[in-house]
Amino acid sequence: DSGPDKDTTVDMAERAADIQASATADWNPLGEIYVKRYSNYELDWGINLADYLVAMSPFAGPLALMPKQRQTSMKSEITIYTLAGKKISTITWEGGRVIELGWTLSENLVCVLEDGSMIIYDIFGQFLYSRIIQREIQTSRVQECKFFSYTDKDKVFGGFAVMTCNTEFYIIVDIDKGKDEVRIKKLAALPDASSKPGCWAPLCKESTSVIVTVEDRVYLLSHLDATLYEINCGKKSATCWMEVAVSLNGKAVALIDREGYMWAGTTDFKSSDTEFDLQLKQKVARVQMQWGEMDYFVLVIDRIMFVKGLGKHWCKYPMNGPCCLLAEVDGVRILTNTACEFIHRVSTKSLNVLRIGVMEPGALLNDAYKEYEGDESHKADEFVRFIKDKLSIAVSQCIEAAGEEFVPKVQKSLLKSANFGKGFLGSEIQPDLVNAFVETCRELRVLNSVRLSKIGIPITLRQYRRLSSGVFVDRLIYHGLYHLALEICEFLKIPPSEGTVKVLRNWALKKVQDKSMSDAEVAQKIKKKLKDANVVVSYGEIARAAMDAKRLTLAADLLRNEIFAQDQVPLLLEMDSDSTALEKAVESGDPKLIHQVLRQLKLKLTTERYYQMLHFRPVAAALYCKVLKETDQEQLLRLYRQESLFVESGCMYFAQSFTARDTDIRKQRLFDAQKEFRDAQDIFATKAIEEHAKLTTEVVKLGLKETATLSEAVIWCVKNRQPRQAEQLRKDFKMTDHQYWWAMIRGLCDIGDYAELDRFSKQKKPPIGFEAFAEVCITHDNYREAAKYIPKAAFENRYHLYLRIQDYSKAADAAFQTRNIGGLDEVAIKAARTPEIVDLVRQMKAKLEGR
Amino acid sequence: MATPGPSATPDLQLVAQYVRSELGDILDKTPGPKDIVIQQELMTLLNHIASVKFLKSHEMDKLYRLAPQMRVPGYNRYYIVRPEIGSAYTISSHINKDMREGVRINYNIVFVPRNLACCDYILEREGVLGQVLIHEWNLYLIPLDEHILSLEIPDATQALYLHGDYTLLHSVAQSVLQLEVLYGGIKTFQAKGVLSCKISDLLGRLREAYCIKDEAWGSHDVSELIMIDRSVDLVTPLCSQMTYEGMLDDTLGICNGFIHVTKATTGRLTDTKVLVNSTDPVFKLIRGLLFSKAPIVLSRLTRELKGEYDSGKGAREISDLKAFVSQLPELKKKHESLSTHLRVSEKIVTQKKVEDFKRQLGYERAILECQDATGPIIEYIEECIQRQVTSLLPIRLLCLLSLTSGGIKSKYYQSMKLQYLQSYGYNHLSTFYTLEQLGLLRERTGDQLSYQSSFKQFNKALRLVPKYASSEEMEKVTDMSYVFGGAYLPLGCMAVKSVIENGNWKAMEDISKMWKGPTVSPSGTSAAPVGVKKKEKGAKSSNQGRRTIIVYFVGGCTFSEINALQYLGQELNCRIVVATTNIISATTLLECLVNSN
Repeated sequence: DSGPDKDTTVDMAERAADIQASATADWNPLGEIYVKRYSNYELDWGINLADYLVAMSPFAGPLALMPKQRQTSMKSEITIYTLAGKKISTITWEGGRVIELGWTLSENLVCVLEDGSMIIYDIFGQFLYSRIIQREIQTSRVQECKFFSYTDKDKVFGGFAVMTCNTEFYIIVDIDKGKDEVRIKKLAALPDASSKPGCWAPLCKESTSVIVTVEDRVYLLSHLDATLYEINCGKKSATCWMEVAVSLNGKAVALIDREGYMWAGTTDFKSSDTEFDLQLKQKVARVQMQWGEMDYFVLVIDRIMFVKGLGKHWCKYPMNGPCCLLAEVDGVRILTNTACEFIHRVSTKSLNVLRIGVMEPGALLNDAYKEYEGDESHKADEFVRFIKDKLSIAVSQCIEAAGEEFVPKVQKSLLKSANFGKGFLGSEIQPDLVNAFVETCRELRVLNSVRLSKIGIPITLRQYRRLSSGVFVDRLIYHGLYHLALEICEFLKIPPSEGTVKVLRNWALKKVQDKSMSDAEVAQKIKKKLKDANVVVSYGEIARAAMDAKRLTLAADLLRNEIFAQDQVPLLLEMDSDSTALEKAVESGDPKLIHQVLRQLKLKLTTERYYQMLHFRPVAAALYCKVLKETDQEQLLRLYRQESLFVESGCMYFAQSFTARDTDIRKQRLFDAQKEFRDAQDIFATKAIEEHAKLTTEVVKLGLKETATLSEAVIWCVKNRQPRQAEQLRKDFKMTDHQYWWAMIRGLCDIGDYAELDRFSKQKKPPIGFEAFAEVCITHDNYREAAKYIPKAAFENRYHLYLRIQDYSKAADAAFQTRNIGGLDEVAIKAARTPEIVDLVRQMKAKLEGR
Repeated sequence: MATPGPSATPDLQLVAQYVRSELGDILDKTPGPKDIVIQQELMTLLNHIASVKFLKSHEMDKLYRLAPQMRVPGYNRYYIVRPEIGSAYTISSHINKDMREGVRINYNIVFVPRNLACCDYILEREGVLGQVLIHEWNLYLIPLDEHILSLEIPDATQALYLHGDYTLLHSVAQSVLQLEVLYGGIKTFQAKGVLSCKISDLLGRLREAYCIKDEAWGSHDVSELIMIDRSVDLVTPLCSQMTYEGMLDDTLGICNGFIHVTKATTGRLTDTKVLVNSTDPVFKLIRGLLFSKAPIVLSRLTRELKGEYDSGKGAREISDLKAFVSQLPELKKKHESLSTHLRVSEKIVTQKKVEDFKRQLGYERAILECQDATGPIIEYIEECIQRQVTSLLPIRLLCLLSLTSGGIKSKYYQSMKLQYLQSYGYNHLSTFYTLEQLGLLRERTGDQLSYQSSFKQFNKALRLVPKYASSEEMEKVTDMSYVFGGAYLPLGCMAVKSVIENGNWKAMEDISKMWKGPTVSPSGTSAAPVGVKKKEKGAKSSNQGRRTIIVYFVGGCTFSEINALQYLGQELNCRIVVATTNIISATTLLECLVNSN
């Protein structure tokens, strides 16, 4: 893996020297440190910043300009640009007087109006929301407004503060969360309410407060109270602070008065590292002041820009026109009429390698490479040998230095040096170092591509790392730079779920709003792109966006491609594609979804239409029936009839006839059931129900409970010596002989009337055989009676009946007579305790087998 | 709670661990002490997943059984229920009552495995939806034993085959995915039957939806999944079970892995619930044996136990005594288990009335043999109806007869039906429609040929009902028919065997063109025939390399089938894990059909 750009031409040593010279040419010493002013873009936009309200956003975000309004409610325009001066969008302004413009962390534009309202737009000028900040402000009106952002370690936080005309202060945060989530906090009143504040600035620490100065006094207004701070300054005469600046991490504050006297220190105002008098000739009207990093800040007074370091150190740059400043995490952005610049401290990383005369390993490695390029390889060798033990450090330093640079040529030169050094490390190279090299190459390539003026995001490597690649990709998406975002995702190997999928999803969501293309074109384009990328993006969501954009055909087209039924079905319902919705739900096999659709449809459709819908879908119908069974049986019956499921409705009516409490209802249900079965042309059931009704009346007449069965009734008659009734039942219900005989035997045995049983057995030859008599006697444990019937039973059945009444010798006999050897074995096992029988069986078996 | 034996790989307890931690997360969502109100049928299931100690560690105060009227004191309450309308109503009534009384409680409802819109609807209609936090606990398969996984949906068979309620299919598919998450991707998937094929389709959809690609899996602990519809073999579950475990289920009923033993049986003071799985040392030995052979093992164990106790008496040295004492808890456990099983088997013997049972088995065998003359069988069924022994027996035999012979002749059928109604009550009218709808009963009208049963063809080709010269020979069988005392080779298990050996269903389909339902087999690559693998294994002879096959029954399976498949696993030297929607027996299957009114 080589540098950010593959270049085959060999750089000459002189060129390398040039590069180094140019890399350090704009360094300006400031005490121990150096500052560097670098122009990212020349601007040719014909704007005079003095006439505009200007709002820049941190992390090299967009820029908004609005002509300064002289009067309230004048027609105007807000224009949003990239930092390279490329117009992104324009908002026609017809509202009230804008006090201040500013950006939220998600790069939404906030307009704060004099009347106490705020209006939010996205960078494309799309209106997001507007609201009154607070009722009280409506009457007191906004006088000034200041945006702030707080960046420290892993926390990023931002919002704005307003000062009303009656000097009340409010903090407004969480603007990106939406209209109703905005949080507003009123701060404690300024004790010196009568006097006019000199200057003020929001201060974020644990909580957000405001620093306000009144003449030489400094107050800190928090949510709860106001604190007065005494500043021990060396100035003799009384000061009147006119500007205050707070660092992004809320730890440092700087104040300046009209005479150019400065005080800078900690935000508890206890210690100061800088007290300095610029000793200006005349009182100044306006000062701009922003902190860079913690050890320097930038001021613009009239046409001069001062960079103030710690202690007495300072340097100045001339400015040829109006400008605006914005603090970034690693420097200060400067916008002028003609350029977008960045001023920052030269980091140690750069110093280690590029500072003239430095003896750090990185610098030596860089020199070595230069010699090598210049064909002075022996010198190069010498350098390398000199830093042999620190080669890893040298490589790492070169990599780090490259990351600090804006100019690709310089980056490349440094990375080549690093690569050169890497070569000497061979296989001993630490994996971390290789990673750092590859990573930096990738990152620089990404940064270089977004720094191009057509994109206009001059972000530094430190800012980029602070944002993280994920947030950075989000920003690109937000800017509509989908193509770039996609390439970057692939290049940085961001996992698809956080990269490609996110980009394509947003791209598609935007695309459906593109009215310049026909529905078919849009659909085709989206489908192709998603298919090519081979990632799963929710078509459901895109379809919803299309629907929100009132493109129903497009939505329907897209929705067809959704593979998640969960994402597809609810939308289909919304689009009134009821039938398809149900079909897809059923197809998905997900009962949860089917239930959901069923419920929605039930609410939406007429019963008739609903039933029609179910008609072709047994899976869904089954679920609905299950629900109805437990909630609404009448409805279920209606459904059954509608579907001509007469047997089902018949069975249900019949079941109800048993459970209903009221006798009339029972009769009615029975009648209904019969009708259904008749419709089903089920003769058997129709007759059965008729018989059932008849039987019920009969058993009630007999004094039995209603549920008694025919067998039970007959047996009851036998047991209660009512043979005529039994006979009657037999005739009425056309009982078969078998049935009747079984009932008689069981009844007689139950009451132990064995004499009657005997008589009954002799009436005629029993149709169920004498075995039945024996069996029933046995179950009543009456072996003696059973023995009477066994000889009359069929030959082959006798042995096991004898066995059961434990008459083993007869059993053996019976088995022997039917030549049943298995039967004999059985007898032998049962009668194992009676030797005579065992003996007998043995003889019999011998006889049978012998023959 | 069941502790796993260490031998089994892959360990099915992983499933329990997985769902247990999920439950823990759900309970942690409401901090502070909480009461858990759980639906009756989930109560015993919870025993297999989470101990009371575990629940206490998630700040459970007390565990209650869901009832229409109940008092629960705490301020945080969790209901754990199936997504059924009934439980939604009960919960709503509780909440409304609390509200009337002005009690403020944090309500949580945990639906198992998922919430359904119909429950939301009830909660909304009763005006309590806003009061509750709803969770879903994706509890699908429950490891009942080291080789049994079950969804434990008691009415699965009816829901799928009678009501056309396919809610379960989704659960089955989800459960397979869960297994894949735990044990890695399953390479080979074989399915037989309409429902299994639907599930296969669903699985494909779910995999696509979750973006699961085949390469994504690290390990492959399970090599094969064979999914089979219950409707493919309805004969086997209707046969009287003859293994100890099967008999236990047929008579006492094994519910969620527990048997309910009455105080009359145990001679203890109260009824007890006994866990019957491999953690029970005695049950482990006898579960798969024929019931008739269990007493032999039980008496041997009794002798051994006595010997072990006596060894304590003989001990002289302190060290010997010490060793003996350390064994005592285990001996006691064995003792207890032994006494339980002795009493239980005694109970079964008295309940079964040996002579009657033998006679009944004879007729069952005659039915399975598919003899042409059905007269005596019909007469026997008639006798059963008339003697009103149980309402299930005649139905069971009728169904068996209908299934094996492709329907019952109209004149018999009508008469049996009428007699049954007259004997057991006309309310059984719908029973017959139910059975017909399930395909268990069929009236045969008109021409004979169209009623050829596939069972008959299988019977002929695979000799499902082998003929033996003597009863001794019958007892010595060395195939899966042993579970029915050598009388019958269970068809479903034979299908599984065939598909394991051939890598597809073709061999079975060639036998009977009428065999129910479509199939899914892996395209192109057929699984390596077991025979080849067996030889390789011969050299290593270690358990490590054994392949694991999951056989998933959609619509339930019986313990006999599980026993048979365990036997098959030994025969083929592979581990067979049985997964099922529910464990059924002829009794449980028919009971709810017959008593549905």
